[in-house]
Amino acid sequence: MHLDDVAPEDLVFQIVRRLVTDLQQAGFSLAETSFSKALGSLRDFFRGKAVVDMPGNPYLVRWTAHALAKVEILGIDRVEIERAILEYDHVRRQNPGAAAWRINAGRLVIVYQHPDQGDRSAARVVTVWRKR
Amino acid sequence: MRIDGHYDRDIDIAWLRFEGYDPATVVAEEVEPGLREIDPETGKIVGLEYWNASRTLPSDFLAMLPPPTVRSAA
Repeated sequence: MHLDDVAPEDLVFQIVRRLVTDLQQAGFSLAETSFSKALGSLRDFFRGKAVVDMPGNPYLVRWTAHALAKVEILGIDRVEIERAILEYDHVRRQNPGAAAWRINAGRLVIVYQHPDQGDRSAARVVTVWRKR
Repeated sequence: MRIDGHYDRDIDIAWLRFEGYDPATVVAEEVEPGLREIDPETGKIVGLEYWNASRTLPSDFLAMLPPPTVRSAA
């Protein structure tokens, strides 16, 4: 059997099953039923039969044209904004105005959407300003 | 009076900047239609940002505003 003949989902499934077997042999007590179910779900996921709906934080930041033009004119570092969203999304507050969420980063207020058009991995900066 | 600005149709935000707008020092505060930008030295309003601009500003005026221009790639 050649590695090229193995589908990635089968490979992952085998690795996880091997791990479970090893843990069981090492004395870990595992609930057989729930583990079988979990393995089945994992296999379905990798075969594209299931969609995982995880709330999760964004790990990608996109920009509206307005926000991008604004940070350029104001001389604000885009990286600073992106870092703030990626690092502090978990402490975001609901925003009543232009977009769903906001965070404060020093004197900056950042307003953004997340998910971005249904993409949970991405946030989109809508506007930014310096606080008074 | 000179007015600079743009209208981002995709997110319905209009941004207007007036004479005396200094991007290095300007600060902003939230008001009902969006943001009011102020020169911290003089306290004068030097910019306005309208959220849901199509509900607030005349469509003829929005049509006069250019789209945002960005020098660097997103």
